[in-house]
Amino acid sequence: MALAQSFALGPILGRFAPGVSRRVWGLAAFVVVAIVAVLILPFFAPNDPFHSQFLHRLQPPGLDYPLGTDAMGRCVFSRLLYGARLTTLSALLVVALAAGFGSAVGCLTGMCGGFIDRVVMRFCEGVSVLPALAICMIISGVLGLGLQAVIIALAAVHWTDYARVMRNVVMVERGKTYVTAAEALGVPGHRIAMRHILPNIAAPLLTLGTYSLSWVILSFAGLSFLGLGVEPGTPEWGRMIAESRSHLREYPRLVLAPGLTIVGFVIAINMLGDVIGDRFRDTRASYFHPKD
Amino acid sequence: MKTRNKILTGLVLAVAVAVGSFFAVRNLMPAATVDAETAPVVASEPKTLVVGTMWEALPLSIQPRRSRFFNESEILDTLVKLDYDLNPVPGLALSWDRVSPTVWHFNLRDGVTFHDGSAFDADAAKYALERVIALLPYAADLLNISKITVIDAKTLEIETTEPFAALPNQLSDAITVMYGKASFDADGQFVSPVGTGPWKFVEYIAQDRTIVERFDGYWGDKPVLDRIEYRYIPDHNSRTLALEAGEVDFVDNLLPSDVARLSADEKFNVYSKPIAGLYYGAINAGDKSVLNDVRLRRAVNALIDRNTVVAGALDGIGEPAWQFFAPQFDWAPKVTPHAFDVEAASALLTDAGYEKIDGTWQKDGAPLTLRILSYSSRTEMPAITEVMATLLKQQGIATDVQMYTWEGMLDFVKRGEYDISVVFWTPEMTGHPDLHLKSQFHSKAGLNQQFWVNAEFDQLVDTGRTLDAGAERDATYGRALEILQQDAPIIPLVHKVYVAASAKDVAGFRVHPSGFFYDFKNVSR
Amino acid sequence: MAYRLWVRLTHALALIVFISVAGFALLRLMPGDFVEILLLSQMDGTLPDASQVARFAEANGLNDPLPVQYFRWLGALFQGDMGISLVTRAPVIDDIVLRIGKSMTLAVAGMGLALLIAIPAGILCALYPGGRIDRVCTTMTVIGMSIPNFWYALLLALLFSLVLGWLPSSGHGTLAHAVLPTLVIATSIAGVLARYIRSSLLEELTEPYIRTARAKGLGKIRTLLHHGVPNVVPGVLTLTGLQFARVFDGMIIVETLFAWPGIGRFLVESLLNRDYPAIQGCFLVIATAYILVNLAVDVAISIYDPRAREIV
Repeated sequence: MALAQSFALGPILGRFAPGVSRRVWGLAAFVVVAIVAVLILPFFAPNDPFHSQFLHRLQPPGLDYPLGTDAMGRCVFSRLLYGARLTTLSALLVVALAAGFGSAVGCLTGMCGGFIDRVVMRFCEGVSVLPALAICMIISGVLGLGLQAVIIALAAVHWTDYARVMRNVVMVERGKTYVTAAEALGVPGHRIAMRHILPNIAAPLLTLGTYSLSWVILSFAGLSFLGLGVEPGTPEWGRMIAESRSHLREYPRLVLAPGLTIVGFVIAINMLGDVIGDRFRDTRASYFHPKD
Repeated sequence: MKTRNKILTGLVLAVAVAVGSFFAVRNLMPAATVDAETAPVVASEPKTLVVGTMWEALPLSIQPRRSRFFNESEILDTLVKLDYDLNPVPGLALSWDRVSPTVWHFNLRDGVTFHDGSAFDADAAKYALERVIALLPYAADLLNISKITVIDAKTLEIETTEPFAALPNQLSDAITVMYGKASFDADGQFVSPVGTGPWKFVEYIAQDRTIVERFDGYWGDKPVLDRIEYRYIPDHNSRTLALEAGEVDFVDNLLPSDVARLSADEKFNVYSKPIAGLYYGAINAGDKSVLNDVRLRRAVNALIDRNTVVAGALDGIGEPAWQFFAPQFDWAPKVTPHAFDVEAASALLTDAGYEKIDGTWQKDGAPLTLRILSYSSRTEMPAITEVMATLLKQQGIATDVQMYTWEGMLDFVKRGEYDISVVFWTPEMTGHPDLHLKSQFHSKAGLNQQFWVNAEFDQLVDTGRTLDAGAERDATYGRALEILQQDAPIIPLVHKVYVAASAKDVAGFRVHPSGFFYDFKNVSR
Repeated sequence: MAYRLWVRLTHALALIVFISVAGFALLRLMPGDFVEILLLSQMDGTLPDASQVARFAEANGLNDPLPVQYFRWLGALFQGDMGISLVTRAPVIDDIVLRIGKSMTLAVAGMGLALLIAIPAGILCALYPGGRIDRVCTTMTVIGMSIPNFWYALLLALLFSLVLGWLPSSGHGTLAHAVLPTLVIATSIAGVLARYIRSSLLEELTEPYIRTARAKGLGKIRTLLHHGVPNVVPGVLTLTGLQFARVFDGMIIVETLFAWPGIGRFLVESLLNRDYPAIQGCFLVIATAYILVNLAVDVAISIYDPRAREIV
């Protein structure tokens, strides 16, 4: 998500605010580094995360297994590292799909207004009124459990949030003076959208983006709790919690380790979102009210 | 001025929300007072047992699950009951004899009344059985009844469509419970269970609880307790927690990993016993699966160490299954159990044209891959399936595991798009081999979705159900079960071990091996 | 105003029609032959043969063109007939009436609690961005929305019922039973709302009119409360309305864990049993509730902010 947005927004901002672009690119670089870090994490795994050693099940943390082993005798730490890549990439994919499609629809309908706006918004509402987990359950029930089914289901449900929020923001921004002024000057609609409105909606979009990234990760976990979600044995964090729930009382670490990893990871994403949001806010403030 | 208006509006909205939540909370208050009256208070007069159950206690449909609950909670009785060794013993019928190959006489118990005061007699029994058969095609299949005749008030004649020795056992099945006429309204719709059991139905709150009270007019030994509340707590962790927090007195279907902890805790009694029930891999023996080759079916059976399945998936709470019927049941003939034997399996696979290259069994360059299906609504299924698949993988057979809902899985199973589906059934439930062999493995059976056809097996099972208990029956079923071992349409995995726990002050509970009978009559606290 | 309300209502109605078509389609597009599934439920497990299926379809008008069937279904719906549950064999409407109140209680209580937490937290954070309060509140809200709810619910139940013994671990009936489920539902939503309030307030603070207000000597708190807060109310309301769908998501999990007999659990069980009429009924009711809430939100916004009336 953050990746997609940084790349998408960087050049756009860069075109009319040259002083800003380096920062944005810096941020994008940071995000890229973070993602690469997540991608190579699995190479640090001390053990094969898929290899079950039933003789070594439920081992306490030690030198061989930094976080012990699970009920299937697999190294929990290695699974967490593999899960980082798997969980992050699939969540990013969901958010990228949802954000890309949703904000495009939202911006479009926000700019067009009128009949199209009404129809599209009705449709978005129609999709988003139904509990997402329930729709995912239906989709998983048909397609079977699996990463693909879950990604499709979550994206299919989630894009409407982007569409609705983007459309509302665009509407509000459109009502603001600077847009009215631009309109009065005869600037064509698409240019108003690209040059004036888009930069202003970056912050809400990124806030929503980071939030939805966490929502997706939590939804993976929720689906796993309901017995749906990715295939059993997949080192996805939510799945790991769900599979270890039967050992919650005796071996709380099996539930705590992926749980805390999720919490920590999601917190990190949200913090990153805040940082991004703050930077854009500064940017905009300086754009409208250049310091000195 | 404008700002003030805005703040005012904001305030109004905030107040509206607050008032809204207040009323929402208030909504709960009346319930609170009601609950205070009905809530089980340990110190108060009626002696109540609160039971936390995994399944909802009383789904209002004329389906097996509902009758199961009426039977296991003993609101309704069956004509025949099963003792703690699964032998048929008198229930509402005192005795029965087979007057001709297809005709049975059941002598009914005297002085039995329904909860509404009406008498139980042959008319009532005929009404109840005919009703169940009309409503449940499954019951018709199970019982094979062609005609029910009332000889006199205490004698019921049942004629079967074919010679059928398993009838008394099948009449212990929960779906044959004796519904009193008052259970149904004028239109014939089910209202609430009115039976002859030691407990009478009081109240059912959907998705929450079912309450029963002692029936003082019961024909047998009267229960010690006054009242039982069956609370529906589907989540395993929550259910155990409710016991530990003292909110319920008894829970069943404990998580295997909780058994050790609760056993060690002085505050609780833990009950554990092998009962009816088998987790097994149902093999697709049809054309769409490589497993239509018997050598592969036997190889797969020999490659799975059941001890590891029990340890890995169930924390040791279960019995490794090397055969179909659990060995502790004497009425089931002995068979040659499967064995974990990698060499024998290798020989079978080699014989079938496979070759182990780089640790993977292959044929013509393609690895042997099995598509394994199961469902996740039963908590232990994913774990058992995963362990089974892992063990196969470690022996060089690739697997593709997919989990569905039960119904979702059946879609693929019915179309034959699978190699193994991991399921759970209770084949020993009625204490007679006929129940499961006929309904699941007979090539004509509606539930046979394994495309497994064995003419000799069909013939043996058809014969077996006509034979009275004795050497000939044992030999017939022994042969049929041996075919089930040798032709291997299934991979027996784990025999079920029932685990329940109660507070320390609950005494007198025994685990009934059918798995569908609480028998709280002797329980006290 | 009356006209706008009318327009909004027709929109809501159109949406409900959309949902009803979707619900009807759901029934017919699901895997498996619908007629066979219906019949199967009445026959309790044995497979009906083709002639039985044909007779059943004929008798129940299931051979008519789909639009005819849809309108017949809709007509029944308007009379409160949502069909018969395939599992309980009782009218779906009865099951839903029994449960919807319990779920709405939880939903409204959870929403209320979330707002009660989020509004003060969001404002405090925006007052002193980067300050100690901000950091504590932000961390709390981030944790709140970062916790998998079933994990958190389990930990809460362990703490409050087992360790402390203050609250019942599951069930419903008393106020005490509602505390933990409400808390779990409120937590994640409070986090989302508080963060939104904070970020949109900060956003608002970069607007020129805030500078003007500050320049004319208005204090920090007064500026925020008088100028900042009123301007973010529409956004907060919109988000609250949107969150309502999430509440039902949370409900699916929370009701299962806490054995709360509401519509979320009914929906899960219907989904697992493929009880299509029940799924349909749940969707219709949840969608209607959501639509009504959001209609109220939109109306409230348009009353509140005349500029936004166009949005409506």
